[in-house]
Amino acid sequence: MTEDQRLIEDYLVGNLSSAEKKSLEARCQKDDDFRQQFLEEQLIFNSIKDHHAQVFLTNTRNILNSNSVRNPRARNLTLKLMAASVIVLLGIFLIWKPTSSKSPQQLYTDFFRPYPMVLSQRGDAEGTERLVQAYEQNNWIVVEQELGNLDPDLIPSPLLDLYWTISLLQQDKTDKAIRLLEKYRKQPVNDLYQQTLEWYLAMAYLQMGNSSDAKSVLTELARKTKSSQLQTDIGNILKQL
Amino acid sequence: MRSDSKYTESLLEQLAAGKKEAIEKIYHAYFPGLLSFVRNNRGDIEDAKDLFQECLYYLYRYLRKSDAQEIANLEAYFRVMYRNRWYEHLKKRNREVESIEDSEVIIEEEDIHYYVYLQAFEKLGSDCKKVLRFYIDGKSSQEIADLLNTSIDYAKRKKYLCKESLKEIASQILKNHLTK
Repeated sequence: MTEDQRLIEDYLVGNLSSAEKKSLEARCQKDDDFRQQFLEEQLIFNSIKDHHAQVFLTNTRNILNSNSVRNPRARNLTLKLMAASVIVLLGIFLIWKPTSSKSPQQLYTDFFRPYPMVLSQRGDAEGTERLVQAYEQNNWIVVEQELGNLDPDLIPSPLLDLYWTISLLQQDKTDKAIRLLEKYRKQPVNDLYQQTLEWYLAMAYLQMGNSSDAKSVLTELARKTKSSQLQTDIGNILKQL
Repeated sequence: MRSDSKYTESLLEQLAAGKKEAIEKIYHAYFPGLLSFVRNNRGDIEDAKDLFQECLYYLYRYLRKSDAQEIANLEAYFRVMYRNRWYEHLKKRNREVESIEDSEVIIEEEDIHYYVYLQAFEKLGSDCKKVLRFYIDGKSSQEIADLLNTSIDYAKRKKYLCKESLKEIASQILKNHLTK
């Protein structure tokens, strides 16, 4: 979190002195970027605070979902389309009968390996030791907790996110892992971590059963990596996907 | 639905208070027309539900604003709003649309973003909702850590990740609006 974000948060929750408040308001007047950032944070803050509106939306959605609109014509069409799709898929399967293909989840199981633990005893020695031990013992709940306890200054944030991802994937918290890694596709970091992060993003997509995104990440990764081992693994996955 | 002004006034008061009965009444009165309009304009029932929720929310937000003007003809107001919003959605999906009706029903960009964040918050996991509500209530990281029975660093990190998730979901919602 940046210093500006922290400042704006403190302003919004009322933790600033009146002098600090005035200084922030004056900066908002002068600095366009800062004002934009402030307005965005304020919007988020207010929407989280607006419990009344949240209940309103939930009630509306419940009413929409509980009142089903009958449309037999559409339903019959859907059933016919589903039946036709099953026949077509069955035909394709019988003609091609792909003997070597595997489900994305199966490929995840075959290829996923936790990234090696490279942390040594630094900083809070006891905490790091607990983390390393839990990691080696596959105790992922403890790993997640200990990562939260780590001093962020002791470890580069892509590496921290990498271990975080491993612990999430091992606990089947795939959505969270994907959200964590996708930001690196938009804002790449140095090559040392980038390719590893992308590999685990592909793993997360496989775990989720999302073959097309997994393929796209792996294809891109195969193009840029110089590691022959990685290229072999990617080739094997793509062949079976 | 009855169209006399006293009835409409009372219905809108109930809606501003978030009463379920008012939502039900408006749903039964206007949803069939909205659904038929969406289906005739390249949409499906899920689009219609999303559009109904969105427009009803804007109506509710408008009514809660202190400077809200009286709405003389609710049916016409709601119809213009959903038609215009639907045409906006189609435009963003790069579809050709009829020209948007001129009206006094204007949805501010800020209201749209606010609605997106509300939807995003609804989609967050319960843990994240809890952490973010603690933060909004002005609880310090130490207090949040105590409430979650964890360390202060973990609480800080958790809050940061939850907020990032919220932003990410909001940006996905906006992106889906554009590309669906």
